[in-house]
Amino acid sequence: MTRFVLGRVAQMAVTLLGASVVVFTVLRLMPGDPALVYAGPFAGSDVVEAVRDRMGLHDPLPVQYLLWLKAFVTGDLGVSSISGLPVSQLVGSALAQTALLTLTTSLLAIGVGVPLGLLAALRKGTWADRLVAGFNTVALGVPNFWLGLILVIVFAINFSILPAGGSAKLTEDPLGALTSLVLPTIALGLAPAAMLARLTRGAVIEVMHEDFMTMAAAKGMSIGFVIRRSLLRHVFLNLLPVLAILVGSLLTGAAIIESVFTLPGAGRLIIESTRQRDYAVLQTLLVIFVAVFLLVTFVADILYSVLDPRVRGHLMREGGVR
Amino acid sequence: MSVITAPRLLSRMRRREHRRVALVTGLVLVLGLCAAGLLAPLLAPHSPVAQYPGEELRGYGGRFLLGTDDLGRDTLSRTLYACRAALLVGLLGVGIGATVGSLIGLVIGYVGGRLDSFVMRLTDIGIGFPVVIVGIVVVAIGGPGPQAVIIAIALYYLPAFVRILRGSALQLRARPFVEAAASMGVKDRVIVLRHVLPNALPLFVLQVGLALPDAVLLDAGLSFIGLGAPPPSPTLGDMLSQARSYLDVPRLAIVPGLALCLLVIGLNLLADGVRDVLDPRESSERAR
Amino acid sequence: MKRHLIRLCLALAVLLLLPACGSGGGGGGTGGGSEELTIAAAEQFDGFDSTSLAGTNIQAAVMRQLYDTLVALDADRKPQPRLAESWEQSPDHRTMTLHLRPGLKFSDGSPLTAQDVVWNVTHGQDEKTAATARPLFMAISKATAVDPATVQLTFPKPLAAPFDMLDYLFIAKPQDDPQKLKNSPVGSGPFKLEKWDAGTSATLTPNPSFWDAKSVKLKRVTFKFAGDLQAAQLLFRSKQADFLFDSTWKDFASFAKQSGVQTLMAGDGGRVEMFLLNAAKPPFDNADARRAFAAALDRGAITKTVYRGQTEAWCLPWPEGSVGYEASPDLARSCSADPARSRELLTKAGHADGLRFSILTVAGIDAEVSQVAQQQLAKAGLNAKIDSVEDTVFFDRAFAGDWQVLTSTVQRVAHDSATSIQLGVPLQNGGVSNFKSDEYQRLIDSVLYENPGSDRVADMRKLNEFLLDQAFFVPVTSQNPHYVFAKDVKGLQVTLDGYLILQNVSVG
Repeated sequence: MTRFVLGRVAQMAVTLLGASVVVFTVLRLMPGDPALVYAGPFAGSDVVEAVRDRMGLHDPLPVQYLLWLKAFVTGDLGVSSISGLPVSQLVGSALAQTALLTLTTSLLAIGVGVPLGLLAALRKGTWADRLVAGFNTVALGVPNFWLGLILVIVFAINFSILPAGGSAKLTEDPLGALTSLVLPTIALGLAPAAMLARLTRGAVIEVMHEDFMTMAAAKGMSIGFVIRRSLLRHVFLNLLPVLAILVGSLLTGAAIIESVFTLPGAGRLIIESTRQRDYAVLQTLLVIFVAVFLLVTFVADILYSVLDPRVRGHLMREGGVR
Repeated sequence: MSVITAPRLLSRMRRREHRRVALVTGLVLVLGLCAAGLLAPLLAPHSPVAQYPGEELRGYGGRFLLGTDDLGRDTLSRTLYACRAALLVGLLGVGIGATVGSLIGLVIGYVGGRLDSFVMRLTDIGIGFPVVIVGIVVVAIGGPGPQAVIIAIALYYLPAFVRILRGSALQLRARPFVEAAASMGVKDRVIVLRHVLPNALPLFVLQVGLALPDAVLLDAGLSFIGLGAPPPSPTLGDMLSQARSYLDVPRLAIVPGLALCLLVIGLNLLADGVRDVLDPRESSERAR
Repeated sequence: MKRHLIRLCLALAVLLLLPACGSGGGGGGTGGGSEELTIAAAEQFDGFDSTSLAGTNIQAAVMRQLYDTLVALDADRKPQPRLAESWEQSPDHRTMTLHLRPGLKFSDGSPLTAQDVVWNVTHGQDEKTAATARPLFMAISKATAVDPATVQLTFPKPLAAPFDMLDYLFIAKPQDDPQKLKNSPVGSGPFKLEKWDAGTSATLTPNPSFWDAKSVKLKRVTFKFAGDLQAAQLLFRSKQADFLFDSTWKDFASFAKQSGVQTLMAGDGGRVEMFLLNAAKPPFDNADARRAFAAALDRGAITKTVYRGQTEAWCLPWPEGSVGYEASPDLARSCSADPARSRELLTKAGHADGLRFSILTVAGIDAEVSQVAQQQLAKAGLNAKIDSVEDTVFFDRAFAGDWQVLTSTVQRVAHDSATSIQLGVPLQNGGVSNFKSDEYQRLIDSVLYENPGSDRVADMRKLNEFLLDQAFFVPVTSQNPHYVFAKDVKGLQVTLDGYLILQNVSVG
């Protein structure tokens, strides 16, 4: 196991290095000159040259890459070419905002999805099961940004009981920060909740048919006891890898919902920095995104192998599954 | 997989009946919307881009069944055309990404070795890119439009399909008939085309089915943030984005939004049904 | 495990109930009667460099709050004392001596002296600074601090409108690190930067060291960056902001009809919506082709459709009251479309069977203007293809000269007309359009400097006729800043360009 983990960590490091090259190259392939964004398209060429010089855009690309990599590895993420603020500060506060939204969304998805899945499984075939199935179908079909729009129309415009968006910091205005998260959390969390409900139902049904359950019932243990002890444990272990992937995609994929609710998160920072060709910010964010994905895949794989020892050998052979 | 017990089998059969209902509903929804989209030129009462001055922001009913937008364009006609565009973009995007990705996956899965691990590391990186950034980069290089969204969706799904089909090729490589063919000196290319590809086909169809509803959502999302077809061409995402300027006229958000929901729900049900037909061993609850 | 679940559910329930407590504050977002102003803006600040006005409008909007100028121009373009309480010009108008108010201080409490003013002049002239108003500052050949309270500026030639440049010279505390000038501004204006979360919000509080601190009523000004126009509007409509900094013309027109809010459109010529024709590239290197383009445009129809009739059609880029307008009031606003004449000119240019070209533009209002113009031009045989590209691509192509026609709003003309030609690159000789002629330079010089014995208005009229005839710069309308704000916001003033002056604003 240790060897497997170490091997994967080494592999991740190499992949991340490769990712930094890819990210750097892709960004430079994009048309658009940050010096012109800064100085304006109609600035004189002497001015533009001066700005380019200051931004270090005159160095050959490999030199620029190596300089950036060296600074990056030593923890110096540089400054935004537009605002001049430290990248660590910009990226840090954006990621914190997105992480908070990811947390509330995951909580909502678990808090709604797991009970619904349990209900559906325990009352399999009844109207409750079908109702949950219906909910799942609808929730998985409703685009989150549209739901967000409708929630805003209803709760922020018509009833004015919830903010349509927000930028309050948790540390300064906890109440404001949390209230501004309510609508985006609902909009973002509904589909994952349905996904978890489906998974939970499937896992529970599977376990209920496992022989040990029948044995347990035969031994006279109460159904409630069996549920508490074995079933939930099994379900949660089953859900954990999925949750890891869910968290990963929420962290990196909330750009559109952040735009709808004007949340200053990582997704919006990406959109904004791309518009301004703010290389330093983009490079850092994208490398972090790739790292997040590598990490959740890794965690999911480890969890799978803990769950099912048979997987471990398979994982070691194939170098990871998805 | 544990041994199939009698009650389990029974429940599965019952479930499959439900499944069939889902499949039929999905088919009806998707075919209905497809037909509506394809026949948009015939069904739409007005041109999707024609502006009727003086008819701005009309309500339901009358000459404009589902009302008009701020420029006096017929919402129903725009929605019909937008559904068509969404289906087309989703299908093409997933189709291209899936085909190219699957071919790469089959080849590296079958060939293995260094090429395999190199491409796999590339997919690691590719999967880490959020679709929005893929879209922005594509638009930055080639300009906005439906083709940009198609390419973005294709690029987004490509690494996933590489991985899925590679896994399938790995399994198939170890299967007796493939090993037998290889030992008889059949060329690799022939083995991949004759034996590996056909056997991986059901998985391919299944995964395309699963990706399609998501792709339609992605298309809407990308157009929503302005990366899709430029105005005045109707897209569901752009219509929803425009609706944000008129939050006191919720109709503008509700009509295209509901159309999008129905489309996605229909595609989801269809995918569930297809999965049940193609892959009866795996219950769909387990996979989703 | 179940207990955990219950706890989770409880946590969620609490989360869902929170809004009920949070909604108490509502109504203007900042509470009734408090002296706080929240401004919703679509775009964010790119820092607070006192010389950087090129970017978004919001950038220019914060300038007057953080920095003061020596002299400011009022609505009649007359200089009013700010940091300088008096000034005099030498008889030959080649030197100007300005006397600073006694006891001036920067927002960090350090004294503001003539030496600091000199630093700001030299800083603005340095090409590395990339100052927006650098062309104006370059007219100063020497800036000296005669004593700590007296600045003397020397001009190689006597300027006809020397105060315009001073209206752009925002006085910041000298700092060596350009990063600090941007992010940790120390200014001389009525407010100081309290807090800045890039991409989120910026908060200003009164500057206690401001020379006129007692006139400042607001206790706090918060700019909220929404990311796009619709999101900004949402903040305003859901009462999380009491001031909407930018809105589409469509929205502005509808707000203007509502009774619950105030609207203000100000600063004629703050920006000009215009077409630029590339005189260095076929087909518009031919003056007749350019004339044909200008003759085919129906500017009235464009302003009516795109600007919802909120602005006027402009044929010459000068606001009323400016010397440029006063020199040719007959030509400035009346130029109806003349497709027949356009065809004639096109034939003369050797394109009897029509002309194909592309218009470089960016999504948004510029693209809308292009689309309406496209149809008008087509009637005269000018077949335009619209290249609506991303901002950065537009920048690249504009800078590289890779365009035939482009739309832009970069020119400011609210100040003196000659100064405006000098300030904005589109109108300069050899500027964006690559139009260059000795005749044009001579005409510019004749209005830019004081020439004894010549009639400035008559010279300006000649320049106007030259501009109309050469048609490399084709104005469409004035894209004025336009604001929507709550009923209880009072005392709002704007600069000549239409930008905010919050010094005397109160809420409630």
